[in-house]
Amino acid sequence: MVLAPAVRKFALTTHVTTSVGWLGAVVAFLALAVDGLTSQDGQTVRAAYLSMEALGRYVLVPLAAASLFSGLVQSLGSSWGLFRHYWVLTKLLMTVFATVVLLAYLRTLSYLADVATSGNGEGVLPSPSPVLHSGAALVVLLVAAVLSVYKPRGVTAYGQRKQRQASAQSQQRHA
Amino acid sequence: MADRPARSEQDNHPVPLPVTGAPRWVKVFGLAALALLLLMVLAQLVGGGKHGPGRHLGLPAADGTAAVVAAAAGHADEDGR
Repeated sequence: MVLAPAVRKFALTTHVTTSVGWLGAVVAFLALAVDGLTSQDGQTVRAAYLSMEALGRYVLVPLAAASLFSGLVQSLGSSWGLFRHYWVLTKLLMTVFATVVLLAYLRTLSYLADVATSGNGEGVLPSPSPVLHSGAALVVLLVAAVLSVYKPRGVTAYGQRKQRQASAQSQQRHA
Repeated sequence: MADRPARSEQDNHPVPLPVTGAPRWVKVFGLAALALLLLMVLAQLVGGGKHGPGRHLGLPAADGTAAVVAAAAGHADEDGR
């Protein structure tokens, strides 16, 4: 179902702002992760891991969910569709994967924040894990952004079938 | 360059495109994703396959930072913060 132009623009605006916001939040998270990993000051390290948990839970997760949902609305409400073009399908898979990993990683973030608060678990902090995960997330989101702008060619088998059906219906109407 | 379905000017309906396979960039992406997935599975197997927060954590700090963090946490608790 193709949405009305005004609704489509709203969905597109929502999708762009939440997706770019997600990317920016990951950059901020990466900065905290690097600081937590490299700082020699215990208070700074502790603050970094506490901040990462808050950033992950209250910023990254809502933005990821909003980006995914608005992307679904945007694609289903336009002629692009969700499964017709490879660039859309690839973005969908990458976004779902990144969101699932983020949700699973919240447990790690909570654990690291607990260690930072309690001071127990010697040897746990500092940890390279947040740096690795946020670095990988940054790559995934950048690739998604590139796909969004460049929209590389490629229609899926499903998309080609839909195009043939639409063409056949058009020919029948004019026959 | 996007490949929106071509539309005839007279009736604004899509012109059927020839059936083609996946473009090269999709195949490259797919291979890269598969390689990463295999890497993750290997990492799981090598790491004992344990789930939970501990499986991702790296080696203990060698520079005494962990002790400083513990001391800072203890100091903060004493101050009631």
